[in-house]
Amino acid sequence: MLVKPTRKDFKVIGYYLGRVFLIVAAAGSLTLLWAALSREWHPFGSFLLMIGVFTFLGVLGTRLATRHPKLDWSHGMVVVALTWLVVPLIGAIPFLLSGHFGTPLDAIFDSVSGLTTTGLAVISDLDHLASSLNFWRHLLQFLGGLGIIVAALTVFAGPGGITLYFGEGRGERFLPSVTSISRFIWTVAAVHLAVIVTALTLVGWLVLGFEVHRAAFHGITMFLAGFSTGGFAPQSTSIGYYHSAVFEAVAAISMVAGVMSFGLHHSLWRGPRRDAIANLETRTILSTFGFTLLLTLTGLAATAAFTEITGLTRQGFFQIFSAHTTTGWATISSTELSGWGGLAFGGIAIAMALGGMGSATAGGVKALRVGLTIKAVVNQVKQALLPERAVVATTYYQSGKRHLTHDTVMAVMTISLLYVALYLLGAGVGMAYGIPLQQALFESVSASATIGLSVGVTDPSMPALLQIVYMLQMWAGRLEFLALFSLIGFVYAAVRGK
Amino acid sequence: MAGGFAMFVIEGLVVVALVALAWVVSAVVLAIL
Repeated sequence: MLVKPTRKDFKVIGYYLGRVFLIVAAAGSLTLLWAALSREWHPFGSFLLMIGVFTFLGVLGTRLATRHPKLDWSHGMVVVALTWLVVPLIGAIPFLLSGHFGTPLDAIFDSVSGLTTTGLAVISDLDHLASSLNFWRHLLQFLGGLGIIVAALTVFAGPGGITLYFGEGRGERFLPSVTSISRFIWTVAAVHLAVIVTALTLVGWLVLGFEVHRAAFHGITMFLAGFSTGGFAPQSTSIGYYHSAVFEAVAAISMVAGVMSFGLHHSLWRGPRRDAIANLETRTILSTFGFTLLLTLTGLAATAAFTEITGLTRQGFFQIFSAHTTTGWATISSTELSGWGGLAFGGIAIAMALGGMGSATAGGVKALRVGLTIKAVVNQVKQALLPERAVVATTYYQSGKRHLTHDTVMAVMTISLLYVALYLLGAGVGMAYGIPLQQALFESVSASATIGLSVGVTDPSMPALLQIVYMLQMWAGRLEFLALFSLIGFVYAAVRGK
Repeated sequence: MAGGFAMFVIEGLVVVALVALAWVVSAVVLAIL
């Protein structure tokens, strides 16, 4: 029997939602500073309105309960799901008022795409967008990549805070307390921000010949998008705008930093460093990268699209690297990408579907699940070949030696199957609108795995229903379903429970 | 900050290694095809 949520449950959820909204309001205040420094007064007003709404809801929520009421598992999941539902809606206010979006749905689409670190965009005339609005697009990706909840937990944890942490699509607990994990994540981000923004700015200034402030703008925005593996770029031609192998190389470093799980960052910073190489997740992502790279480069070479090593390496490597890290930057246009046929197209689609690492900034199936699925399949084959009474024990290394249990396999298979279903859902709706299978599947995988590469399906003229389906895919893909199902269950219990 | 720079170097080396891999794969597939 479903238990109907009580008034107290709503108050607890409202209280923690309120706390999160106040943190988002504080983070959003950076846009005010940016707009004021740039003398962009129209966006300044829209940011003020957005921050006012976040603050109003935040204060309202925190007044619902006394300090830090106990948060149980279902409360935490509902808070996470609602956070990721409401923040992009309010975060879309500046976009809506900018005049760069045809409909409110378009503005919300880019906001959802930003926060979920996807990178698909339907904005019009991006090249003439006010710099503060462009900064907000990228800041949304940064907040979404690191986790709004993680941002909030750095300031407050409270009893049950770990529930919020897991609800945001993170399964790794590499430090004892949720506060220490959150602070470590923000330390890693801050240090990378300082180093990579400096490097990108220097490249923009000294190599590309930009003025210093313009180089800094591109350095900051590209770092925020790269480290969050989000894939937005301040220009409509993505990273291809810079026409610079050096800039692409430094940007690729931000993608490496972004795709690495924070557990892996912890191993590299504080040891044991052996884990960085020995972990199944690291080995899997390197293997799948090599495999999809081979497919793509072979496909491109076979079509004679590239006849020189330099061109083939640069274009093939960057697109596959961007897809597999779930970033979504492209050095080529969506038209050129849709022209990649056969093996090359298959290679990049597989790279998108299987990319990313857990407990990082990425979305999608993620490498550890791919590795465990392969281990489980090998285990089954061994079991079938050996005598009936033989017991096959499979182990793997992931921050320590572990046994592959039946429960682990079931959990991995369930989530992986849900991702496949999500990929097919968007492809099916796309095909219903007359989009060819190959393009429909590509765009659907791109949305579900929060990549952002596009073959041209996502544009301001796309059907509204398809936009809504892609938003649902981005949301579910980023949160790994659990929080989404908890919210559905909570609403159902509120309506039908006793 | 020094730790951050060290990480930047490590991550940079990863990029260099992967580009080198892509270069070798490109050379091989172009030679074969």
